[in-house]
Amino acid sequence: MKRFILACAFIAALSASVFAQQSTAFAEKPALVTSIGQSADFEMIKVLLNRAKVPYTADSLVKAEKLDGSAKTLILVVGASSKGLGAAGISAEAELVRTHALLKKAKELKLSIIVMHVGGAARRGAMSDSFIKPCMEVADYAIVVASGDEDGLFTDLAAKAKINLAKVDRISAAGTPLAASFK
Amino acid sequence: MAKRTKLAAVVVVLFLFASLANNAFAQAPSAQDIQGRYLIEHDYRPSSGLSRTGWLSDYYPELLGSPGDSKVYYFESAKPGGTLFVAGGTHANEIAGIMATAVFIENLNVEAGRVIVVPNLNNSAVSHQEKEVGLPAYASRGPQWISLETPSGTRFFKIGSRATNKAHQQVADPQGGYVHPDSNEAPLAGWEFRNLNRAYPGRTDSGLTQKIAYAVMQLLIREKVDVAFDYHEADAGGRLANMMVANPKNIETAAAALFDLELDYNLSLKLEPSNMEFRGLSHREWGAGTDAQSFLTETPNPAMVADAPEDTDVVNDPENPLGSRVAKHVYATVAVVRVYSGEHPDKAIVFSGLPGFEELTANGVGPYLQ
Repeated sequence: MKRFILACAFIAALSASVFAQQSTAFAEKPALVTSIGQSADFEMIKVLLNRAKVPYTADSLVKAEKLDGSAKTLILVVGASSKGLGAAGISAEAELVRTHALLKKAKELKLSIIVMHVGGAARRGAMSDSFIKPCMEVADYAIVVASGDEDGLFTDLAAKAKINLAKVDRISAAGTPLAASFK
Repeated sequence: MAKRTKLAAVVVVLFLFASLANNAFAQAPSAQDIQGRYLIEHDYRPSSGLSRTGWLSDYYPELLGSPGDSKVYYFESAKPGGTLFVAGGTHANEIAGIMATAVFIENLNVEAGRVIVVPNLNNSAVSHQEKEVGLPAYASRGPQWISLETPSGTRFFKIGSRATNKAHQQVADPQGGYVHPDSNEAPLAGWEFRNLNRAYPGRTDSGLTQKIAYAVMQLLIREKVDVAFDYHEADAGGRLANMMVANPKNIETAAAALFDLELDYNLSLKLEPSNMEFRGLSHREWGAGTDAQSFLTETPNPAMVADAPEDTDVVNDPENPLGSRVAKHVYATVAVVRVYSGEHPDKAIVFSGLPGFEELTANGVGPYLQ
């Protein structure tokens, strides 16, 4: 009996840590997923969405002009890759300009915005942080792999923006809170 | 007296015989087989699933008799399916890649499709560990061989250099640096001319490294390879360690496989697409020049850390033992093949016999060799 109570308490605590961050589904389908920083994490999130059966379109370099309201939720896969930026033929400065314009238009269109940072500590640093901050300011929800928040950056930014933050231990665990956020 | 003379005569005869024999062995083409193939006697003992062996020179005959020729192992099922190619030893100092191919060779049973294995893709690089001026220390650091305890006793596997043996290349390293013929990038160090993973798609009018690269491309094309893996290692703790690099055309396959690796084995690998501007790398050129989906995996090698000691133990490193590194290569391949086969049921590649991920990681490679 004691074991059962302990197990229930453990499950309850675990559930609380994962799901208390976003208790109700708020995002509407379909989604538009884009990369902010051109890392390959973008590809990983596409797999997550496929497996969660969330309808979406994907465009790693989508510009503000392309947002027309057909997508109801904007998923930002944040994290800089200098190789990825180079391969995409875009500078970090131009990526930041694209990001700001995209965020402005998304707010005008009243899209839900979900920030995903799934590259962990390896996807942090000055360049990544310069992308993370503006995205977190306007986000409605953020899902991060915990090793990317060891210095508490996401925790602080989420508190300032008064948004819920889901921390997961690895990318494959990000699918559950992501799927749960869609109505 | 007669007895002493007889004894002296016997000693002289024995001495002469020994000298002649020694001389004869010295002059015999001991590094070549009867077809004139240059050989390094690697100790791989194939499973009963082996169908046949061939040579890289079968795809480019000019390699025959050269130190760049290398043995090719074919495992073929009667049931049609796709073709998987796995290669180790592009860089002969990256021993986990070589031993991952050995695990395939010594355990594989193919149930649908084919698996082609080349354990020492740059066989010339196995022949030396030169400390060349300009060549990074990690490129030829460590023991000349490793020993593993296997069910049949102690066995030895050769370690070499990152670069083709200078004496085999036949063309001097370019002064002013190496520029891939199709590249617009700044010159790399001159020795990179002998780096097989900067040489694809290869050439027939250049050095041995470029000819090996050409032969590999011909193999991928002629054998209609569907999925191709090139196993590498990188400095433990560095950016590249624990990474899968995928050609952009097949990055979705890689991403799906990496999810499965996390879910099935608790194994997280980073993902990067090939930089299409950076020419000569296997994952970039195999994918662009053939129909194969191409992948490269990198595991953390303790001897490749910048200031690692010369006698770094590359087998029993406490953080990254050989078994764990080999398991990552093998099961990254298994995961990709499963995703590929699911998406291409008419070209499914099905095999069995490999040791489990947890077993390889916990027990090392030796128990799973012949």
